[in-house]
Amino acid sequence: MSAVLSRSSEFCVVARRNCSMSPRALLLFFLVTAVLSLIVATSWALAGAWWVLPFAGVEVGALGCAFIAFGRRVGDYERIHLDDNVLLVEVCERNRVSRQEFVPSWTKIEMRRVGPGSEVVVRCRDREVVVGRYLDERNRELLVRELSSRLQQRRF
Amino acid sequence: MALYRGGSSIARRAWVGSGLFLSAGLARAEMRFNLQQPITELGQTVYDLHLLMTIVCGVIFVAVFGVMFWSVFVHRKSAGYKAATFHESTTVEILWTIVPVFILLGMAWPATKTILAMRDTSSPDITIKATGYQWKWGYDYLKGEGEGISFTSNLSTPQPQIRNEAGKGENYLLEVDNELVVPVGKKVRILTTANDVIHAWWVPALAVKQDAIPGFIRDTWFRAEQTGVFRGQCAELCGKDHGYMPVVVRVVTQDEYVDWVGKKKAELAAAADDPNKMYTVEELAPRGEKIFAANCAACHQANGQGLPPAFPALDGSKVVLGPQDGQIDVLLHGRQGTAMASFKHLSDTEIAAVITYTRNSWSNNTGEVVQPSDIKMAREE
Amino acid sequence: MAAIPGGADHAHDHGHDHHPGGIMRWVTTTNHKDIGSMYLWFSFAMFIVGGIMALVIRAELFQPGLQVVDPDRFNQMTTLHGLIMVFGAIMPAFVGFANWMIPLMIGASDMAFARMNNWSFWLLPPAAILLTTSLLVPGGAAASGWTLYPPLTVQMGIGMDMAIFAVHILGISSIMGSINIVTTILNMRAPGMTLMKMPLFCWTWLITAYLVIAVMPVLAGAVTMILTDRHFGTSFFNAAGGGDPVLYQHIFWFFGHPEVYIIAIPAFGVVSQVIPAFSRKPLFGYASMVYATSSIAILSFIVWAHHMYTVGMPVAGQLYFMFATMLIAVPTGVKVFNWVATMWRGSLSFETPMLFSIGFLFLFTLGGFSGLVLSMTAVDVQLHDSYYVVAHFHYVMVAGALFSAYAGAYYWLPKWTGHMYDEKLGKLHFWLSIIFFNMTFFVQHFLGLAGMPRRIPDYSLQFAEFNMISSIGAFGFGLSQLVFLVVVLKCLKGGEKAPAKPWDGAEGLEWTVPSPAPHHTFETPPVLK
Repeated sequence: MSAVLSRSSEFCVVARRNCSMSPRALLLFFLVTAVLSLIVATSWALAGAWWVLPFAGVEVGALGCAFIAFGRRVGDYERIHLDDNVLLVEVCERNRVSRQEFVPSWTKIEMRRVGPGSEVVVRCRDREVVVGRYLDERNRELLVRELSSRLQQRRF
Repeated sequence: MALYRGGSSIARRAWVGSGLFLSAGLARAEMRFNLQQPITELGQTVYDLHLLMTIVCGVIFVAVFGVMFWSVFVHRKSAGYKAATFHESTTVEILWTIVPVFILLGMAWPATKTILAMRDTSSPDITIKATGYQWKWGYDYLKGEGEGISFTSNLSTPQPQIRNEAGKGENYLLEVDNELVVPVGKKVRILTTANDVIHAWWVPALAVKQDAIPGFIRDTWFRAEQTGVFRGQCAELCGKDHGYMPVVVRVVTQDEYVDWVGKKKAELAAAADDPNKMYTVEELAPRGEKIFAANCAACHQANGQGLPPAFPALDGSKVVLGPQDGQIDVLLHGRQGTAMASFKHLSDTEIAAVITYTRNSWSNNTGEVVQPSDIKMAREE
Repeated sequence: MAAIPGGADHAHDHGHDHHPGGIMRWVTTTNHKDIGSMYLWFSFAMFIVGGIMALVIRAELFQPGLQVVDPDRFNQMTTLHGLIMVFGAIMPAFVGFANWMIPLMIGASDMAFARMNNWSFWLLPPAAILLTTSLLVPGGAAASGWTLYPPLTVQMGIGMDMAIFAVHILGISSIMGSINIVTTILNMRAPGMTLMKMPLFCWTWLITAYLVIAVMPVLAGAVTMILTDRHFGTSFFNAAGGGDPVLYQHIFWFFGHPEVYIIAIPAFGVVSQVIPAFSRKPLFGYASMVYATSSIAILSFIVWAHHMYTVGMPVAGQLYFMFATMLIAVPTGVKVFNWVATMWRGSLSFETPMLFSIGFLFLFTLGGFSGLVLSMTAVDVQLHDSYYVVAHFHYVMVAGALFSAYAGAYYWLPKWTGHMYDEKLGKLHFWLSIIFFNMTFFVQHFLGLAGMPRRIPDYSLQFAEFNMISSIGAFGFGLSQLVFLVVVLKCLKGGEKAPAKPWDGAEGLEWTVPSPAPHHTFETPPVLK
């Protein structure tokens, strides 16, 4: 879920949405289902019962749409990259990437409680970005602790 | 379990029926735990095959659940039994996949032989066509001795028995006006078809069941080894009176069969009608009433009131009181999308009689006579 | 991980933390637990409706002669009983289990398509209303048996069209539910939960959903062709117009046989969760269970015509379908042996879920054996469309699917309600059910053997005793199910507080969240140890 890669000068966290099946495997699953379903429907159509075919077509289409709709979420990720000069926060949701850059020495990172849960906020003056969607509570705390201490170091 | 046949059933009935109302008819009934005693060689094979299957299944069942119940009684938490931790064993798993395959192969062999025998309808002595109608059977002797005989076979149990207004007879619901008569020891091939919906021709003692499909002809066969009367029923749901179209087969000796054929042929010749004769209402209506009772009353009711909305009333009906052509058309072609089937299998005189009857019964009083020649003309159109 | 209490996470786009109150909460909910509960209640309501129809049937058959309903009504009862129990009661019940338990079992926050989930549920009530109100329209409900064989279906009134429409709606609902379940299971498993580490219940549902996707269009096509034959002058199944009535039977059973497993396979899944829990021992042969279930599913596509041995297909066809059908006994046998081996040398205790599972195992196997007898073409020709078949499929559907659903309901009730159910009443429910079930259906084997056809409102005198026993059993069975209602209502109202894991032998992520399961669980996936 999260890959922490840290060298002394650089710090990078990438957190991805949990997805237990690769898009390739999902595509394969879809193709097998679609081919089987259409073979069956075509056989019935050839036997004279052609009404099965449009229903099978609509259904395979529905399954495809469902997988595409879900697949658009699969690539979601958050990337937090800190080097000597800049803190880069990159959030990708449904294939749309938004990037924000912060000056490390002016930036704070903190945990905010929301209802029964929490979120992580990166704030610089009046700009703020919410991250940590794909991390669990413990990893969020870990992220806040690690990043804060590194931002602190930049300050001095 | 299903391995012994019902003999004296007094003791069993005691626990079944204690405190329950049982009619006199019921008390004579016999409880049966297995297939009916077959009267054909093939039927005996099927009977034995079923028995063999049941025994094999029973033995496996007892073995498997013997193990399970041993576990249930011995490996109890309440008895302080500590759970083992094993959760797989390739050897055992392969074994209990392979062994059933061999058991099944052993079963498949006799089963295959039986099917091949069952489907061999070649070189019959007599061929009879059984046609399913809603709700009766029609029989046509097509080939062999008796060729040309043709009749329909209706339930003969009176309505009051069904409606619990009279005591039920011994063969309640399994009795017909015209039984199918066949000679003993001859290979009889039955062709099945139907006029309206799918029916199935089934006589358990002959081990015969064959769907009767409208527009298609299927076949089956039997060779009865005993004389007697054997009863069965339609087995495929065919509408309202599916439960009221029994199949009754009377197996007779060769001599009796010859007699029966002679008598039946004479009867048919006597009943043959001159198609060009002109009838009066008085001649046709009584005959029409009988035809109505056998063919129409199940739905349209003897009083002509029908069972609306599925089965409309004929008393006061627009069709019956309207032009004759309209009514003739409905009888010859049926009504698409309703339970009204075509009755074109009836003779011209029969259709003319029943139409005449409906036009002059209950409150219908047209005084019109429909002549057989009218029907003949309508058919030719 | 999930041990952090109430790990709800607002960064997620759920937007359902402020529920509308009252009925609108249920109409608009997208929460898998709410929808699961609604599925379960709906299926129980349909079970009662279908059950009342069964009791009308059994009341009519209590004695020879016509007493309660006329033959046409009787046929409507058998038809609607079948349709309602298959499509309205059993299938939605297991979809309910899937909705509730699959996200909890794989560590997902909800189903993949929460809103579609809501739609797929709310399609069910209109279909149920269509089916039940068709009894009131002119001509009455469909009276052709749940198999809807033409040309009989062409004769029916508007009730038939309502039934066809209802079947379409129910089919759409099942397909939406299945697409949702497939997507959820494939994509939303917690990190570390590989396919071969999933609870078996999830596996069985993955396979079931696949079956639904494969065969539902076939059913939809079949009933549509009946509709066009009825109203638009086509002749798919009309011999006079060049069609073939038997083609319908092929199409229907190509759907119908997999449908049997659509009902049975999730039942296998539930039992595979319950037996290890109360044996305090892991499931024996997990991998072979997965392979066996998959084989059953694959075989189910190539055996359909064993429902049609008497239509007069070529003898080669009869032989092929017989051999293929007999093969199903092998993977089914593997499953039964695995369950027995799971119990073997376990540390067994017999709470209600375990009792129902053992009842399932015992009686389902009996139904399997009568199935094996029926697979023999020559024997089936004698037994086809007789009460033997009725007995056989009720052993599989009632003692199989229904008992397993009860096992699952008692097993997860503490998780759903937060209270322990009344064990005494639960056991009473089990013992009444199993006694009356056998009283109702065991004797029907004898009726079928002796030659009583199914779907008849009246019978000859030789069948009187067994029918009387069967009818008494049926009323006993029907009334016993009210005990279950009492248990559930008591459990909802209160009772002993259930801990997060009320069964000491139970395994799985669902037992790591508190009881009752909070509205939101696993907002971020748990990490598997």
